Amino acid sequence: MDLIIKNGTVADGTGAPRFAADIGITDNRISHIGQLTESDHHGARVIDAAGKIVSPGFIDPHTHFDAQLLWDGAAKPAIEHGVTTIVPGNCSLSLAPLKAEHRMKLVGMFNQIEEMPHKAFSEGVTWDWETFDEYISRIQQDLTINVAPLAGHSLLRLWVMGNDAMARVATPEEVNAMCELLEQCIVAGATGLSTSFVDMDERLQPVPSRYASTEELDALSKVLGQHQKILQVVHEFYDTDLTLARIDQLAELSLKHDITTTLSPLFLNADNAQGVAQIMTRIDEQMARGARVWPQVQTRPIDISFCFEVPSLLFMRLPTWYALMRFNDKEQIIAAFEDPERRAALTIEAQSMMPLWSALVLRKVESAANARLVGMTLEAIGAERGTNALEAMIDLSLEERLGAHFLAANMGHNDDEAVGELLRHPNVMIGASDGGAHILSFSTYGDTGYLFSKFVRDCSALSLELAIKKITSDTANIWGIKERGEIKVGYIADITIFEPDDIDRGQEYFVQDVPGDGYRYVRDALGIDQVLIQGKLAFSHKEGYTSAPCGQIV
Amino acid sequence: MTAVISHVHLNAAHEGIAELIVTLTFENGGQSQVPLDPNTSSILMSRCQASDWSELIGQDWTQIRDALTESFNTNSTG
Repeated sequence: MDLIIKNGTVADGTGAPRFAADIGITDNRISHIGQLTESDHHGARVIDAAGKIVSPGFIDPHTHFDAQLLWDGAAKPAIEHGVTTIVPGNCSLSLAPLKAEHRMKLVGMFNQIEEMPHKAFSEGVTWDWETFDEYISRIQQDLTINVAPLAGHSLLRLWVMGNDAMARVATPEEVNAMCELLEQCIVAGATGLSTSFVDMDERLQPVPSRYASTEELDALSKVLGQHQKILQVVHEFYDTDLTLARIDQLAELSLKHDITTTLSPLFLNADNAQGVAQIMTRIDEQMARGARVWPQVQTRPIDISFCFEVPSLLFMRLPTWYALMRFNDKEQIIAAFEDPERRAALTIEAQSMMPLWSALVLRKVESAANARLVGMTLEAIGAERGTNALEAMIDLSLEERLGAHFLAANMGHNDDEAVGELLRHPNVMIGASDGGAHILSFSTYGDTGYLFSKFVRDCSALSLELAIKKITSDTANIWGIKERGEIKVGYIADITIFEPDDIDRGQEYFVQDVPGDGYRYVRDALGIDQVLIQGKLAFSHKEGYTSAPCGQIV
Repeated sequence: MTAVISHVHLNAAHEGIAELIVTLTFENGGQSQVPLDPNTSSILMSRCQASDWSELIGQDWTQIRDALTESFNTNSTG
């Protein structure tokens, strides 16, 4: 054996009750599960997991780490949150296959849809690939995390049709060419196809996949079926009737071509609870007839952030505020805040929403003077300043010349009991994290930690064992990821060791680590002790990332 | 068949901003919801000459259609 994990409590990913056991790892596979004595060690490195859970590594099925993998083979901070395998290339957007003439087009789409800055591409990416095979070779050079990459439907259309991909349906010849291209991607390592029915590109025109006919998607699904690969879609998640129609469409594709399909995301708000119930009834019905249609549900609630430089609909209920932001530029808004009479009128109008202002968190400022206030509620800042939250909000906005950003936490997908029930549902996949996307708006990391802190410990909506199963073996089985997702002899040793009472996501903060001096919101992990990928230590709480090139295309 | 705005409320959009959800009620009692981004919402308010979102109630569905068209055409460069 090369490595032994001793004294841990194993939750093996099947949902079975946890049990005390040592784990032996030989080469990159789990070779022993049970009691191991000193005489079994034979010079193996020993990790003491006393008091900790030893789990299969977590799998994140909905990410957009495609670009980040080019400058960061660990897709930080995914691994430190216990994630050992990621699925990039979702929502019709991958980074291959991509002809040189379409590179800027794709950068524009990634910027518009996933909020990846242009400069990150220009500073962080050397465009030295076109085919999917070449992209895979490129990211494999420095891979610490496992990757199950999707091929994007919009990319296939661009490759075959050029600019016509954004104007019309494909001819039969073009569909055949796309099918051949998809096959090449699969042979090169693509885990499936992603498409989108809703996204808009940088010109606010539909992305290429939205011009596809149903016959085109059917033909591509046939190719997926021949190789037992998955179809991922982003659907009209804001409309129940359209979602039901998409579920039926995916069910027919699944049954016809014997493929697994997944749609993302499914949100649960107070106003759509009835719709979600209808959606889950339809999912259950289609699954019962043999279709494989997996809705993805994220664990984290949705926060709303704003600053006064951009009109926010949070103020729509306050006519004077809303008009101020809609019809005035930055200097005019500042002047209004500075004018005593106008400020008094604004504060009177906003008094009714004081509970909201009090709960707001200051999330970003420009000045060093106010930097220490980041992360505090406006109520606390107001109290410190001898005023209230509303006055603090206006004062901070003036001090920062409208550059103060505020966060209203837990504004959507926030009914813990209902969301917990959904996450627990046997026909729901936990996912939709969007890891690596929306980097300038919020942190998409730490959903797995939040699953345990909120829905296992706080709400008891899921047992620890079920939560682990949902983000390990269930995800692996749905996506066809072999020999991973369980602590099982013979399986690949992707293992996460964590403190069950501490695992959580940390506070959100802004960090400058994107190429081109760019920033992004991240969260640190809490309670993760060590993460092994292919039997090699990829991350430890004490020593951080190891840069071991242990990731694989899976 | 026509429809009118019967209800509006705010929603947290998945990209972390507030969006407006407009409920349309049809002549036969059926309903549907339309999410509107901040820019389209502002255009809708202007088109309806509304200073308060309650003034959107009772407006014809074509106002939404026209607001979406204007928002699309304003932002589109292609």
